[in-house]
This record gives sequence, structure tokens and C-alpha cells, in this order.
Amino acid sequence: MILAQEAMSDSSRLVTLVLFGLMVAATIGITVWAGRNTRSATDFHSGGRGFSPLQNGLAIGSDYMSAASFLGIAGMIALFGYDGFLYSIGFLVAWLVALLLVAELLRNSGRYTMGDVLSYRMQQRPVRTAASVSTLVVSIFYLLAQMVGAGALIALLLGIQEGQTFLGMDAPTAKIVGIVVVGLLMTIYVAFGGMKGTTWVQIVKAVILMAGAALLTFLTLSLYGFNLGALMGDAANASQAAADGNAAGFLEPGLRYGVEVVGDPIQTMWNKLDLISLGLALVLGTAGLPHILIRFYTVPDSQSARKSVNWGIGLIGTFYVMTLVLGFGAAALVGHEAITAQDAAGNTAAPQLAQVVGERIGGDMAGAILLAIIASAAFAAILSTVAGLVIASSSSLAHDFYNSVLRKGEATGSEEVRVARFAAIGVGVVAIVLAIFAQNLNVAFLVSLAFAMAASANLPTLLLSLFWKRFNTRGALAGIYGGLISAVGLVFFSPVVSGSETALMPNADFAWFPLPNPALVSVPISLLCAVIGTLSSKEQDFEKFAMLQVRALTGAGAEKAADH
Amino acid sequence: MATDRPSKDPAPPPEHGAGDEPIKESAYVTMHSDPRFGELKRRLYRFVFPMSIAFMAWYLLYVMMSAFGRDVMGIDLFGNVNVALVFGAFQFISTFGIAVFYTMYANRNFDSRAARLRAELQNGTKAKVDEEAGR
Repeated sequence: MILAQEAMSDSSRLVTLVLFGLMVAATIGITVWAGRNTRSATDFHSGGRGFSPLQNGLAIGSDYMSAASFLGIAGMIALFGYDGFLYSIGFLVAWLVALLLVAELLRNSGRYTMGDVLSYRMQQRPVRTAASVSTLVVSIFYLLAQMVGAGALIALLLGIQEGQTFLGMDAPTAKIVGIVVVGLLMTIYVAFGGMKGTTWVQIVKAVILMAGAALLTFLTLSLYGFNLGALMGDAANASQAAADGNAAGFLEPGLRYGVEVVGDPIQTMWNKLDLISLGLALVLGTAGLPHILIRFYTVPDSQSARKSVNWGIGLIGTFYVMTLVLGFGAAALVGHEAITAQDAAGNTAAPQLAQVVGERIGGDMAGAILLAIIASAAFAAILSTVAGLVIASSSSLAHDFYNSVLRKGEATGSEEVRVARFAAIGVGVVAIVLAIFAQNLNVAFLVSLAFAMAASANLPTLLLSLFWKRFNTRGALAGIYGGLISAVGLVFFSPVVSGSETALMPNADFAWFPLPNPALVSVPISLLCAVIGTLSSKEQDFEKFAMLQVRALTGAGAEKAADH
Repeated sequence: MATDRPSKDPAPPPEHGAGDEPIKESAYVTMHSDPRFGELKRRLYRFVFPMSIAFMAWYLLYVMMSAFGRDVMGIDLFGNVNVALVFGAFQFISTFGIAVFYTMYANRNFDSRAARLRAELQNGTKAKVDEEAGR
């Protein structure tokens, strides 16, 4: 029998459920409070722009430290060692793109959405439509990843295994219930609390998650006398790599990404190129994720945007260092077999570690409590990230699509807020339904696809809008659609979808693109489309460009914080 | 109430306070060719573009080494610590370092100049400049 499964007693489940319930009650309370203070469009879309850099930094960290990155990276490190760490490095370095090139300029020149900046000097309707489409597609894929993960995780966190029942639910039912509960909660947060509610939920989550991870990191290290080297050695020796006679390989790149296939140099080369393609998507995707971009609007000015990114970098970096300890700790203390028995992708490595560490330190009861704490932190992580994605989608639908495209900019702020609330409900329902159907998709695949799409469709167009004088409507449209279509298209023709045993359609084979990660090709395609599109059109508006640049750099005419 | 203004104008007037008139389009265009704005832009670009190229190159070197330089990455430096781990740790350190360095640079070389030009645009005159610049 597997440790966590065996010891996931009814009392431990009860503690977990009580903590889940407390968290839901607290976040609903925040939402009700925030909803009372949300009147204007600025309140709804941007939380009134009154958040401090630290508060926004926590919320940025919260958007980013999703359950997929907390549980996923810890699990990847536990199973594959170094390659999980490599993944987290791409996620962290990516913030420099946001800090140096995007955050402040976007804060100064936009209002509510990514589309504000993209369409600034272009023809409003086509570019805002494109921005809205791309925001929705990227956010929905990311949302699906989180929700599919959430369903499985809640079942696992409550310790419901195949063949078991809890409160009358078997494992598949529990997964669907998990998806629906998460979907309803995120819709409530956004529809009622707007950006203010969402941001406070994220701040609370960031504190809970950081505290939970810090506690577990401290306890894990304490078992090794705070000797990280000894922990790593133990992890390597307990790993699957060691069983295969390559313990040192656990601490080196290559077990998960860029795998060397003996006797097949061509596949080996594709694998290595795929690693580079993944690295590119991770580092370029972040500053093109709509839910990250709109966070920069929630602070009073561009200096606060800069400071909040710095807080974010500090928090996220610290978090990934802790994840490294947790991953190695799980490899050493829980072990490969026990982790994969619970979840093949390793997503439950961190909660399992919590239980083992708790038991070693204070017996069964401590194990159950520590497990419940980490499970609740993971639950909080799921809830707040999905809320961030829903608000990004609903703001873009209301502001870019409804107001600017359908109403040609004539709608008032209160109309926009009303539409945004309904849009949040619509996005929530669509996400719940899609997630139920997408349950068998691989979570890591959905996340990396969202990053590749953001890196291809959004970032090149955003940077060209801010820095290239000649850039115009046709270029922006070509860049967004070219990037989006090439990223999705290449994945469709990759081994992820067909032509391999692990593909979505294992019986079909139309895979001619060898890399599961498309960014290496789709980012250059997007850039090329943007440049060719621009040069093939005579349109140019240097005056608007001058306005955009002066506004972006000086902050003159920037949106101010609302005062209540 | 500013709340209910239509949002057609992509550069909407700021919410008014005393002496906080909407800025004319022509004022932005004039400012764009002002040599002081040119200097502001140079100061920003001079930092962010070379730095972006540098950190991307540094990161891609790391990814390339992880893909193609595994012999080097696997060399043990001390105990269980190999080149790959130290290289990765350096990526963390350089990210923190660049963020701090950029913030210091912007505080010293950018913010007060931007504030001066902003105040000028917002007041429509060169008055009140010193007060705003002192922020």
C-alpha cells in the first residue's frame, strides 16, 4: 500500500475539508466586500489602480505560482531531478522581459487590457478584435490546464483513489465535482468582486502558499541538518535514475527534456531542439500572458509597476528555490515508486512529502495536519490563478470586444462593467464544460501550449507596437493571427496530437512537425508576418506613435488611481 | 463623473483635478521632437535593449548547454554540486541582480527626467516643474 493513500484517513480528510471550507468562506467574504466597493469600470477591470507595489507583487506571484507550477514543478523535480529546476529558471528569467520592456510602458499607455496598447495607433476594431481573440484563446487554454489539474488534484488531495468512495463520490465523480466547484468559485470571485476581489484573493493565497511552502521547506531541511548537499545526494540515490544505474544523471539535465535516444541521433536532435523551443516559450511567454499584463494596471503609476515586478521576481524566485528543496525532498523521502503510484505525473509529490515529513517529526497526527495545510495551500493556488484568468478574459470581452468593437466606444463605464460581469459568467460556464471534456489532456502540455501561444501571438506584436515607428494595423493583425495560428497549427501536426503512443489520437498519424513545443518556429513566423504585413500596407501614423511614446515614457496622461 | 465617460478615445483625458487639463495631441507630438525627450528615450533604450540582449543570450547559453553541453554540465565541482546546478543558480542570481541594477538605473537616470517632462505636459507650461521633479 502507498503511504499517503493508506494514511489519508477520514480524520485527515476532515481536517483538509475544514481548511478548504474556511478558505472558501474567507474568499467569498473578500469578494462580497470588494463587490460593494466596485462601481466604476476602473474598479472592475483594474481594482481602482490603488494597490501598493507589495500588494500587486504578491498578486503577481499568485497569478504565476499556480497549482501547476507549485505541484507540477515540485513533482517534475521529484521524478526527473534537474529538468524540473530548468523549467523554473525559464519561468523566472521571463520576468526580466516584463520588467525591462513591458510593465512600465504598458502601465502608462494603456487602460484596462492588452488590447488598449496594441490598438493604440491602429484601426480600433480589427486590432481590438484580434487582441480579444488572442486573450481569450490563451486564457482559456491556461484556464483548462488549471481546471483539469484542479479536478484531478482535489480528488487526490482528498485521497480519493480509483475504486474508493468518499461522501458517496468515486474518483471520476470527485474530479468532475472538483472542476465544477472551482469553476463556480472563480466565476463568483470575478463576477461579483471584479479585479479588487480577485486581487485580494490572490494576496491571501500568496501569503498562504508562501507560508505553507516555507514551513515544509524548513521542516524538510531540518531532517537533513540543513545540509542541502546531503538532501540532493539522498534524492539522487533514491531516484529512478539511480535504479537505472545513473544516479548522477538525476542532478544533470536530460532526464525529461532533450532526452538522448540511444542509436537514434535524429530523434535525439529533435528532442534537444524541443528543449530549446520550450526554453524560448517559457522566457517569452510570460510578458505576453494577458492575465499578467493587466496586473500592471492595478497600481497608481509606472514606478509602482516596476516595484511590483521586483516584488514579484523576489517572491517567485524564492518560491522556486523552495520548490527545488521540496522536489528533492520528495524524491529522497517519499520515493519514486510511491509518488508515481499516486499520480503518474508526480503532481502529488509535495503533499505526499508533507505527510511523510510531518510523520517523521511529530507522528501520524502531525503528518495529517501538515498534509492538510499543504493541500489547502494547493487548493488556494488553484482558485486564485483561475480567477486571474477569468478576469483577463472578461475584461477583454467587455472592453475590447463589446465596447470598442460592437459599440464603437460609445458604451459607458457602468454598461461595460455589467457586460464584464456577464462575460465572467459566460467564460466560467464555457471553461467548466470544456474542462470536463478535456479531463484526459495532459496538464503540462496545456500550460506549455498557452505559453507558446502567448510568446508567439502577443509578445512580438506588443513589443513592435511599443517600439517600431512604422508598425501598423495590417502588421499587428498578421503578427497576432500568424503567431496564434502557427502555434496551434504546429502543435496539431506534432507528435503531441498524433503519431505516437502517448498522443491525443494514438491511432492516427498526421504528425510532420517533430517538436512538441512550437515556439522555436512560431515566434519567428509571427515576427515575419508582422514585418511583412506592416511593409505591405501604406498605413502609418507617426503622430499617434509620437503620442504613444511620449505617454509611455513620461507617464503624461496616464490613467490615475480612482479615489473613493 | 469620469466613470461613465465613453471610452472611445484611446487616450482619454485624465480624471480632472485642479490645473490638470487634458493634454492636447499637438503637445505630445511637439514633445516627441523635443531634444529632452530624445535624451529621455536614449537613456531608457541605452539600458533596456543591450540588457535584454545580454540576459537573453545568457539564458539561451544556459539552455543550449543543457541541451548540447551535458559533459560540461555534469562535471562535479564539490560534493554533489555540479556545473549545471551552479549555472542554474547563477541564472537566479543574475535575474535578481539585473532587476536591482535596472531599478537603481531608472531611479537615478530616468524617473526625475520623465517627471519633469510629464509635469510640463500636464501643466501646459514650464511652471511647477521643480516640485513635480522632486517626487
